[in-house]
Amino acid sequence: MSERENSPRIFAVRIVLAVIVGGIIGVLIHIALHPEQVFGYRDYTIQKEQYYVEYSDQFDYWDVVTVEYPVIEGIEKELQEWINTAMYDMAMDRTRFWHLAPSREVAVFQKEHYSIFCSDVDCDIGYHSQYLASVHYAEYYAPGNPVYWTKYTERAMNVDLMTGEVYELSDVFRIDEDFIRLWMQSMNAEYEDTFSEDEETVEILLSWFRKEDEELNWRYEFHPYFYLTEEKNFVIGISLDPLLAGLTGAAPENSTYKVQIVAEKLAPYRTDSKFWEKYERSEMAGEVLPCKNKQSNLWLGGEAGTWNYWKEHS
Amino acid sequence: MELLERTFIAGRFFVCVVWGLFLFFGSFCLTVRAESETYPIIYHVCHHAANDYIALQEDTTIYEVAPGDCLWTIAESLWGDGSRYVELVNANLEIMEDSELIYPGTLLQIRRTGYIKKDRNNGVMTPEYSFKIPNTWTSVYLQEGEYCANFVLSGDGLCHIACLIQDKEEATAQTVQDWEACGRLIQEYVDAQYPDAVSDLAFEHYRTGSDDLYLYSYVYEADLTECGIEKGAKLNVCVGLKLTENIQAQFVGFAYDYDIHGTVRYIAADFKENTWNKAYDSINSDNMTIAPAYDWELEGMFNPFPWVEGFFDSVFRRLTDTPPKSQGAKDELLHGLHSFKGRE
Repeated sequence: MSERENSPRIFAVRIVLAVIVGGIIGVLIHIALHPEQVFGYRDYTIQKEQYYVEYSDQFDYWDVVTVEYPVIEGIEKELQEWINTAMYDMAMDRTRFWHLAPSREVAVFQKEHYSIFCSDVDCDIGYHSQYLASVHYAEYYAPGNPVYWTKYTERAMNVDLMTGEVYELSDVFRIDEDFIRLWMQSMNAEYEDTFSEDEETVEILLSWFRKEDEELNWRYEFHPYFYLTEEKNFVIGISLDPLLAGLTGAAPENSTYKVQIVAEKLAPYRTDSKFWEKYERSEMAGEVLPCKNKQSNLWLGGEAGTWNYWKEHS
Repeated sequence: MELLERTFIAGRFFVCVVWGLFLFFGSFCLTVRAESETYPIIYHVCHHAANDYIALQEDTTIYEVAPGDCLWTIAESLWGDGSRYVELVNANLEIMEDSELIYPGTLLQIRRTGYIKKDRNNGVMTPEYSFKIPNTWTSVYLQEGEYCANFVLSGDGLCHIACLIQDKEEATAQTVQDWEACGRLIQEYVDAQYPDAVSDLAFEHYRTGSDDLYLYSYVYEADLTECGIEKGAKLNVCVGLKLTENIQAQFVGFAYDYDIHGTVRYIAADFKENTWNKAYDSINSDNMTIAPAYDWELEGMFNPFPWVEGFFDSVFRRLTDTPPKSQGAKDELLHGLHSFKGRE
């Protein structure tokens, strides 16, 4: 073969090689500039903040609100903003429902029966990796009057730091009868036979986890939730947060059932969610900073007189 | 003997205390819970009304304007007074930008108001019916657990009369046609369902003009052993049914230590359909309710026995902090949830 005949072929090979090398260099430069897109975020912070109002004088009734919420910093700006808004919204969920953004019915109820609204939310970020943050909220709140309607509830948010996707319980686990049986057994093992393990109870709890209980859904909002522990185990729970029609009872009332389950036991119920890929590759990253100047809630904080009242009257 | 007397007095005292608690907390809690139900119409007591009466104002409902309607005729048909069309305008300012114009198909928000006068002509008056009630009695919404009634007359002490005023049903008229047979059926029902709890069952029937008044009364002894009270509480119960040309009014009275029978008879006997309202349509839209309703053989008549039993069982359980009677797995789960101590 002559040199003249070979020259176009050599030229083409050189072009291909140049493209490949260029691509590799480009990828390496991109990784060097944005390592988090491959390796996730390692140096972010989650600062706990507090929404704090004590007798604002803006309503016809008193308000004492201490809502702790997380603020993430050090990830992609737009995502950061979106995730921070979502985490704040979840922290304020009950406060908005009963106080700041009431429905027409709740507004009427406020007008006629509120002497005070108080809410005390604590947040905890038990697991935070280069890809995921798992936020758990625990709240005491009292619409109207803490002496009559104090409720305790929990909820959680698991957010993908790379995409902003929020993973619900039903996104990551197949919720069926067997899943419910495992959850019930775990509850019974932890809390001394909370449930009778009959088929009727399985069916009812399944309808709660699937938010399909039509007999009760006008009285309660069903909030199945999960959050991760430092050991990457799962705390799985369900809250039945009362709507106006479900607002009964005098003594402080619990609204949530939850229990920790080790990850291996839950393996058969995994869905094909992208969550799992991130979960498997996750290891602790970032830093959680405590809330500065955290205020205690006058009505529902640890030292509040409400609890003494109930000790004396229960 | 002395011990027996002491025990008896202590028992009576405890029952009185429990009732006292009910009266004290009940009125507050029950009024508060009024908002928690989904009935479209609930009677609100309007304290801002004129001094000589209190008004029972219904929640807003919808009136669809028909061809030929004008504000005056609508107000007249709703309230028996065309000049009250201004109230229609005021309630619908957003709909009627030009305040006099309405069109067929327009949906108007309406409120109807009944009045309880406080003077000696005490009574409830709506466009369709009227009846007297005793001085000092007022109107409340009653709810205890799942048991509720949305228009209840309430006197001093524990005495309530739940009202169920509806369009007359053919089935009701047929059922009471043979009042003696009704009496036998009720007696059989009591013998089968409440052999120990119900006593002194008695029946009456009066005819006034073209209207019929049927009454039956009994004593119900609530079993409070699950609440830790050995001695039962005796309640006087009386049901009055008045049938007029177009309306059936049922009054379910229950009281502790009070002659509720006399009051039910007084109210039911006075119940009148207003003959001046020629445009009688239907009063079922008032959505008067005593719930839950239980089926029995006497079609068209409210069954008071399980309702009274369930209502007072709920009252005593709440007052004595006794867990609700188990009604199935779901109730147990809810009860367990509310008292669950697994929180952090």
